[in-house]
Amino acid sequence: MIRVMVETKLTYDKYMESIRNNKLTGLRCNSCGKVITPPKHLCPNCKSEDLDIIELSGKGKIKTYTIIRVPPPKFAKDAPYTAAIVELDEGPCVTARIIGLASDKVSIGQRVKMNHLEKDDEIELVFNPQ
Amino acid sequence: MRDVTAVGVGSTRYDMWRDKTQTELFAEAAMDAMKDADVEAKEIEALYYANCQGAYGWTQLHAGPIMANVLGIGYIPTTRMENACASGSVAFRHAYMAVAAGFYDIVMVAGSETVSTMTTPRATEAFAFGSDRLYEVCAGVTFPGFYALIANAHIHKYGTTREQLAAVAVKNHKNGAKNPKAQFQKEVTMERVINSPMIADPLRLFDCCPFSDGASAVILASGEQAKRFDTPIYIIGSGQASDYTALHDRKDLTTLAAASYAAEQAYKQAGIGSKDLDLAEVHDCFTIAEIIATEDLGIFKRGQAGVAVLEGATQIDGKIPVNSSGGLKAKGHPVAATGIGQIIEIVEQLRGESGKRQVSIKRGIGLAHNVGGSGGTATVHILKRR
Repeated sequence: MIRVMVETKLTYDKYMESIRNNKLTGLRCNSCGKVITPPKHLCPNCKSEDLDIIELSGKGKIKTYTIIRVPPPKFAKDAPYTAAIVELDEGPCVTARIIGLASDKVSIGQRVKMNHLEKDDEIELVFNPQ
Repeated sequence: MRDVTAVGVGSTRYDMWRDKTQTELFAEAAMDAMKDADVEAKEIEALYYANCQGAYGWTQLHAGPIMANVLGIGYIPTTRMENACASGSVAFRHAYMAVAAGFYDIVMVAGSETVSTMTTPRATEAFAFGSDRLYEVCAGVTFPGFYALIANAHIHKYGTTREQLAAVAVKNHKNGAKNPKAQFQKEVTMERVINSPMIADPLRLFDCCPFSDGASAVILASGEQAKRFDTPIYIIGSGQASDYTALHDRKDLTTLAAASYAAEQAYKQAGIGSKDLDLAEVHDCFTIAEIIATEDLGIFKRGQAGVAVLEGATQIDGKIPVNSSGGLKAKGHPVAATGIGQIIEIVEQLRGESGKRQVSIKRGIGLAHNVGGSGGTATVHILKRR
């Protein structure tokens, strides 16, 4: 039996690099069609390894949110800020901060679009109101 | 599989023990458990040691041998277990499995934690280590933040109210006031909970468990050994399951699926259902967590646990007492000791040793539910007095 080298298709680095270019990438399962992001090695639905890298619209809606008032040290200067789980139009969800929306104006179901922040060469995925 | 029984339990009071080390707290709980069981150190064949924050807070790895050595039994096999806030119960399950499988007759499972070695900002950072660092912690979400995301989803789906969340804290403080080992032995009013500072909306300070230091230990013995002990309490069900660590990857944010799976395994093994329980200790790291836990365990229907707690169903004299110890909320949450401490509360209640907080024991069956992180790990253990 010839064994093929196992290689991660969409690495964390590739995923973050696309965010630096303001593009959200993911994977499409060629077996069941499911769209996957953040990156995974197998399709969470059918466990297939046959996945292709795709670009997502970066648009979605707030599935749930919170306002962080006691932040970790790295975000000390930003508090209070809104963090949310965003359900993308293609199906999968991601966790990110919501920037450019007053905390008392946030609600579940609100439409948002991806953006990114760059600080000290570090990239952060964020969303703005759509 | 052989029968396994809990024959000795010991615990420190949970508190901010700034003047005691992780080793000293361990020794106090371990020796307390050995005295309770009337077991000598040389009889212990293995140590399952749970610790979560030691590598970061106390900068000590490889703590298992250190702990065994303080008991003068440094030659026995030790294993240090870490599954975030479920470290203690995961260690308990592995100790249970080793005795059930026939590897050992008498083992110790213990957890100790010294969170007070860290400043609050450092501890806030460290408590998020149980979540997915690459894809969710990067968004500045804290540990309370993850449960706040869950809480808002539960409120949105079921209409869970501010008063229902607060009722969990009020009840658990009321129970903690009756527990001499609790960190907070003081009742709180609903007004105080509802007006406490906001931490991560909708969770306020009194919706959150405290930072705690402490240690808990249990001695397990095989069924054949049980006759030499006074009141052995049998472990009749053990379940453990996992889920995506990242909340965003889960199908439903209003339940911890790992807890439902673990409960299903434990109920099946024990041959009982939630209606057979005399009491339950559940993982109330936040008020919403207790509400969801009692739904995941099948004690209440989905969306009904909030109503039940407000009506008093989970009080010590209620239909099904939940967190008679005061729970993580009032008894305290010394991370890796917590899951073992929950099992100790069940053992003491089934023995009838819980004093002012003693619940009525009818079937002699109690359950302990422990969660790691925001539900990446969950365990359920069912204990019975025969």
